[in-house]
Amino acid sequence: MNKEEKKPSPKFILGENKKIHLVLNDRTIPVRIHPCFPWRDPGRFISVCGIDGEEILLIHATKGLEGTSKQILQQALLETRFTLTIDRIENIKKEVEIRNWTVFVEHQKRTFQTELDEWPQTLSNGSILIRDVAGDFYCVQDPKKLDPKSKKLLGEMVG
Amino acid sequence: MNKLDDLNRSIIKRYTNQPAELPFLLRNRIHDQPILMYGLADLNASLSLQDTWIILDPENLAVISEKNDEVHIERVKRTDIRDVTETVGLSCTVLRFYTESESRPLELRYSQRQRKTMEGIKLAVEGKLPNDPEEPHHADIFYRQSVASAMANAQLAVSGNKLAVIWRLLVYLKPYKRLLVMGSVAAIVLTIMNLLPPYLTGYIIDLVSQTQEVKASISVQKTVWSVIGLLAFVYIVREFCLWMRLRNMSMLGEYVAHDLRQELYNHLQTLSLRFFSRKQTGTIITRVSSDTDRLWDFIAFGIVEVSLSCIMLVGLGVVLVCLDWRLGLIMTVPIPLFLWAFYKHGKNIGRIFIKAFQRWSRLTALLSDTIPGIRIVKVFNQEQREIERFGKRNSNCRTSFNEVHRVWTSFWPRMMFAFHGLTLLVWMVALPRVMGLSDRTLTPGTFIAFLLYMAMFMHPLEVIGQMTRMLNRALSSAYRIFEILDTEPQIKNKPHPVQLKPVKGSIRYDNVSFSYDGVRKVLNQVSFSVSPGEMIGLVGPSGSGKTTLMNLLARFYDVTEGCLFVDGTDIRDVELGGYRKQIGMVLQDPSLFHGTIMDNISYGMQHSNPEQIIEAAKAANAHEFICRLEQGYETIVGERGHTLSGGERQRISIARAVLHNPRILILDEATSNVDTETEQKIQEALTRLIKGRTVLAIAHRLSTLKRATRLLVIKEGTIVEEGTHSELLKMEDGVFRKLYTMQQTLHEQFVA
Repeated sequence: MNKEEKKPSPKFILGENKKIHLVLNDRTIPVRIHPCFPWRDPGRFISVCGIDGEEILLIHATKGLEGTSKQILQQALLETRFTLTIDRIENIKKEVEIRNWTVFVEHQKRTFQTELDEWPQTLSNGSILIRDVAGDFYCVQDPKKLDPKSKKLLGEMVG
Repeated sequence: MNKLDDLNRSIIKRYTNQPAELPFLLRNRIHDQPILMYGLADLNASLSLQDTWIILDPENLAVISEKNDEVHIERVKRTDIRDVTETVGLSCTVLRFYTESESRPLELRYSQRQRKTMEGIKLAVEGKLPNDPEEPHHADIFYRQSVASAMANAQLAVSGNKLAVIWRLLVYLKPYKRLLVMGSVAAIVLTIMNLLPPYLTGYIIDLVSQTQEVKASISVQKTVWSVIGLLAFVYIVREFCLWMRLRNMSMLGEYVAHDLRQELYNHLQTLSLRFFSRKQTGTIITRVSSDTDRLWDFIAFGIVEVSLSCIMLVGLGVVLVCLDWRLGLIMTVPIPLFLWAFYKHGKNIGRIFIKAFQRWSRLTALLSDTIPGIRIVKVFNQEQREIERFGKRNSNCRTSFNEVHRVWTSFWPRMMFAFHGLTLLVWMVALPRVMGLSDRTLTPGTFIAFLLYMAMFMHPLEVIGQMTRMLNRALSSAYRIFEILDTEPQIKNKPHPVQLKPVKGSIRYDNVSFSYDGVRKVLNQVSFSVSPGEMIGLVGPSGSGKTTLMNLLARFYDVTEGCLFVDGTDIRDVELGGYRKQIGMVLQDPSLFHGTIMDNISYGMQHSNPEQIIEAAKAANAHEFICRLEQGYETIVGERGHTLSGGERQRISIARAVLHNPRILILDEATSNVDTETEQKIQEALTRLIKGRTVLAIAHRLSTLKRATRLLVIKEGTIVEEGTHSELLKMEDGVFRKLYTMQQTLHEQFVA
């Protein structure tokens, strides 16, 4: 058994007004969480920072957390690493300086724009990530499951 | 402002699925108070897309959502709100309002697109934004501006109306009517001349294929020679017209490109720093160079080629039908099909090109990374890995470009095959008639003329088929150019500006606030005065607003709130050119232009004589090192010129400031990034430079500000401490004292 395993697992509570707090040495500290690898390994290496931005703790895996703490952390992670999931691509139109995408996010139509040299990124798990000019991330979880038209349109953009 | 607001409105309507303003019905339900701000939270608690409006009035914060066709309004008194927090995620930000009365916070979730609006609301709730906007439609304008800003920055202000842009482009041809008329007439005559040789050839063939007696007659021989003479004349006129067309249209294109380039560059010089910070340098350079060049190509060749191809196609159709309407119809009826095929091919290959370019850009990105960073690659022994990475991307490129080649190489044989099919059909229909096997005889001359005309069909078809692509490319360039030309300079002279000559150097910041994005205040109600000849040191952490204070003094930006006075006059009322002549700047990273050292020192004072330049260089401790250079003051520096060290470049920039002899001097980290010996030389030069001038200086090395009359410590956009160097050091728990001690400790540790 190494030293790390002996350490008690960190405890998180939802403090007053739903703020997430870390319980450390009988103190509760309001914290913010940042996944270090939001795409490659979202459930591991979670940086827990104080409100001033200084890291208090690095959680190697959420697996080892006890029930409530795990739930609180996972809920917070869900919001932190949330991306808009594309289930259908209706059109990708090149315009002056931008590409205009018309897609369906959870069956709702949404348009967004990317710069011409901002290409979709293929992640290690095969998902495709697109970042629009406003900074929002759009994700195609499994490109193989797209309908033929969407697949064709996306295929033209992905190298 | 209205024009900008209209533009923002059209951007929202065109590029988003959200309303361009708060819906009328909802507005009516919150009508008891004037609306200060509103925004849209586009995600719900389960992170699905759902619209929730948040409206801020002087007393309340209202949240309006719709559930099962029912409008649900939740109001919170602003005085009840005790805290607001923002948790920023990748595409979901959560804004929480904590109130005195409720244990549960009011939560709003939204995507990045809405973030600027929501941040504005947060700042307003926190009391960091004024509560009584002067603009009556401030809330609408703010909402639209915030939502549209990302698209507006990425795209163009003028895209949309293609016809208007073409018309505007044509206006640039107006001063060169003569060239345009001559070029166009030559082009039309050229097209007609192109139609004549096949006809004349057919005519000659018909004459020479007559019986021996007819051929021997003098009149026929005369006619044949006359037609050959006519053919020679046609060729001469044709080549002359070709020369006229190419010469006039090329020159016309060049004149227009020249005018656009000049107008663009002149306009760029008038634009404020805000514009340059918004646009990447590369895209601005592309607009002045490549885009104007593309327009030259379009005007010189594109417009003419397309117009002539249209004329040629119509002309060919008419001639063929007139020569023989049956054969003519065989050729002309399939024209729309050919045009459609060219158009589809253009679109299809364009799609494949996108992928090829994407792969190409990945390949060049790798080159841009590894070639400048080659030392790192070698140090970490990563050559093989980089070779493999390059190899993979290179192969991807090859695959994509081969796909392009596969498509176009298979397209052309198919098109030619279809065309040859038509030719065979013409032969099959015409041959019995030429051989006299049919009632409707056809002379060999007419048939040969027909075949020659047919050969002329393909080129105009191809040009017209590619017209859309050509037009779109030219329009993109025109859009990009007109966007800059339509950008209004934000800093400009008032109608009757005050001339400050000479500037005495008294400065007063009176409750100055400033924001780059209209939301976050970089400076917040800063007030201080500087007497003529005083040296003020500005101290504080990075991002505290020091450089912004300097930028306001140089009037690169105008204050958002408050006033900045120079010699008692509001800086916005002062004549800009004359004022800037009396301001000098020495920056952390001095810019030297391509040219001699002499040119660089005398930049802004072109008529200085050599004595003055040497004197300035001596004052800047630069003379000695300049003299050591082989070509002395005539050494070429700047881009691709002689490489100077950071300290040498800095001393040249100080010499430039000395020669400029400004009344107000701005020093922004002038001694950063140089070694101790060089710093000493620069300090000596600066001591001479600042004498008798009003100086505002920023320095991270706090010891260099000892000679400042006063020091201002800036933190988060406000002045937190003020006094002399020694006064500030005496302040227990003072920010300056803390920073100073920290630096001294670090210095001692390194020296030790």
